[in-house]
Amino acid sequence: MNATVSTAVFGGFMVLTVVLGLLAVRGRDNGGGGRRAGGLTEWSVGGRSLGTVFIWVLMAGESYTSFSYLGAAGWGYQFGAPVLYVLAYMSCGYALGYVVGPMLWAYARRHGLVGITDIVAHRYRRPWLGAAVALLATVCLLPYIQLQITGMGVVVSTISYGAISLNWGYFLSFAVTTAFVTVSGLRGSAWVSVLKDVLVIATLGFLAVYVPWHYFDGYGPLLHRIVAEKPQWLTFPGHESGGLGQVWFLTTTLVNSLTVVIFPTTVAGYLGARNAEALRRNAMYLPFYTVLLFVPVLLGMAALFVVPHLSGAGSNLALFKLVVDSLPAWAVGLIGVAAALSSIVPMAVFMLVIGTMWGRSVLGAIPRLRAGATGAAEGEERGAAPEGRQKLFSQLVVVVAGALALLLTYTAPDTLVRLSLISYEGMAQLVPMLLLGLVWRRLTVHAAVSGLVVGVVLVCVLVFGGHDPVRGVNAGLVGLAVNLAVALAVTWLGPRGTDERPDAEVLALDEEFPRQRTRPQGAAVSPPASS
Amino acid sequence: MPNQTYPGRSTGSRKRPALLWLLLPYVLFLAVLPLVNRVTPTVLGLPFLFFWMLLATLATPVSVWLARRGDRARGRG
Repeated sequence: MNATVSTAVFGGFMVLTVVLGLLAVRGRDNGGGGRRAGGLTEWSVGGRSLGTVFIWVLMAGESYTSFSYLGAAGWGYQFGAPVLYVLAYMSCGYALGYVVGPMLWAYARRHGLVGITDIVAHRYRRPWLGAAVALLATVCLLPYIQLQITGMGVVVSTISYGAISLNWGYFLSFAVTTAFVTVSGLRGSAWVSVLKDVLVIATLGFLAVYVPWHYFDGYGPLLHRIVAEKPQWLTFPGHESGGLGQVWFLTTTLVNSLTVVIFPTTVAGYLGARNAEALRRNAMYLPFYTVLLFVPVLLGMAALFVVPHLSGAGSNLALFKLVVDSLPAWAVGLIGVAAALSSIVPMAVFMLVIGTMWGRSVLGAIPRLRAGATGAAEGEERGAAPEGRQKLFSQLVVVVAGALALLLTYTAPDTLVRLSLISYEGMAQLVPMLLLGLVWRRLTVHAAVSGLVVGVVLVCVLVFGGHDPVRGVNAGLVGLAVNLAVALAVTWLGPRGTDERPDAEVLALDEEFPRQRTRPQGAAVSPPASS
Repeated sequence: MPNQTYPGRSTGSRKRPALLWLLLPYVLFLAVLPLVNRVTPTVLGLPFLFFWMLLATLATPVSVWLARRGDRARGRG
C-alpha cells in the first residue's frame, strides 16, 4: 500500500518533469526575436536569454545535487563539522562569481562562444587545445553523472519501499534526463529547475521543522543533546574524519571556490544569462540558497540519535531513514521527488555541457569538418549550417555520455568512483589557463599547457597514490600552486607568444558588457547608464 | 595603451576598490577559523562553530551587495 502510493506520486512527477522540460522550447523555434532557429547557442546556453529568476533557479538547481540529500547528511552523520566546507566554498564561489560571471559572459557573447573549451580555443587561437580541454573535462564530469545516477537509484528504491529496484532506479534517472535535455537543452533544464527548487525548498523547510519536533520535542532539546553528547562532531577535525582538519578545510574551500566559478556547468549557467546584470544580482541572491544546506547537515546529525550504527555508504541514507520512518507514504514520495530532481537537473546540465564541448570543440577542431562548415558561413559570427550540424552531434554525444555512465554504473562502478576522486581537483587545474589567461596577455599557450599538464599529473599521482590530503593540504591546491609556478616560469623563460591580435580580441578587458546595440568600435553611440 | 581601442569605456577595471568586499566571505569562513573552531559558547542553542558558519553564510550576500553598491556608485551598474 505504502509502496503503491509513494511510487504513484513519484511516477506522476517524473512524467510532469519530462513534459515540463519539453514544453520549455515550445514556440522558441519560430519566434526567438531573430535568433537562429534551433541552433547550438539556443540549445547549449538558452540563446543567452535567461533573466535573473531563471538564472537563479538554474544555478541553484545545478549546485544543489543529490549530494545535498545524501552526502551532506551522510557527512554530517559520519564526521560532523568537515561537511561545512560545502557551504564555505559555495558561498565564497558565489561572491567570486560577481566578478568572474560577467567577465566570462561578456567575452563569450562578444566572440560567439558557448563554453569553456570554446573560450580557451579562442583565447589561445588553438582549436586542438579546446578539444584537449574537452577531453579532460569529460573525464572529470562523467563520474559526476554516475554519482547522480547512483544517488537517484538509492533514493528511488528507498522511497518506493523497495518496490523499484536499484537497477531500475538507475535506468529511470538516465531515461528521464535524456528525454528532455536532448531536445530542450539548457532552457529545459531551467524549467525543470523551477519545479525542483519549489519542491526542495518546501520539503527541506518542512523537514527542518518537523523532524526536530517529531523526535526531540523541538530544536532546544535536539541541539542541547548534540552539544552534550556529540561534541566531537561539532569542531574540526570532526569525528574520526581521517585528517579533515582546519588546514584541509581552508585549502579545500580556497581551491573549490576558485574551481566552482569556472566549472563547465557553472559557466553554462553564466552564458545563459540575458545580461551581465542578471549575473551580478544572482551573485547576491544565490548564497541564500546555501542556507538550505544546513538542513540536511543538521538532520544528518539528528539521525545519530534515531538510527545509530549506520556506517560507510549506509550513512548516506541518514536523512531518508528519518523520512521513511516518520512520514506517511505520499509525503515520502514527494520528498523522494525533490531528491530525484536534485539528481536530474545537475545530470542534465552535466550531459548538456559534455555534448556542447564535443559538438563545438572536438568536432570543430577536425579541419575537414570545419572547412566544410565554415565555408558556408563567411561573414557571419557562426553560420546556421555548422550550428545545426554541431547541435545534432552534441545531442548524440549527450545520449552516448549518459549511456556510457549508465553502463559503467552497471558493469564497473568502481572505475568512475575512482575517477571522481580527481574530478574537482583535476578541473581546478584549468584555473590559470582560463582565468589568468583572460586577464594577462603574456601568458603563452606553451606556459598554460605546461602548467595544466604538470598540475593534472601531480593531482593524479597524489590522489591515486593515497596522499590526499597531503599533510592536511588539499591535493588540488598543491597541484594548482605547482601549475601556476610552471606557467609563470615558462611564460618568462619560454618562447614568446606570436599572436598579433589586439588585446581587445584576446583578453576579457572590460568587465562591463558592451551595452546592447553598442558597436565594439563605436565611441559615439555609448549611451548613458540606464540606472 | 591597449584600452584606447575602446574609447568611451571607462578604464576602471583596475580601480574598483569596492570589489575588496568580495574577500569578506574568505575572511569570515577561513581567516578567523582558529578562533571560531569551538563548541562553546552556544548561541541560540547552536554550537559556536555552526553559529559562526551560519552567520558567515548570511553575510555573503551582504558583501556582494556592498561590492555592487560601490560599482553602482561609479555609474557602471
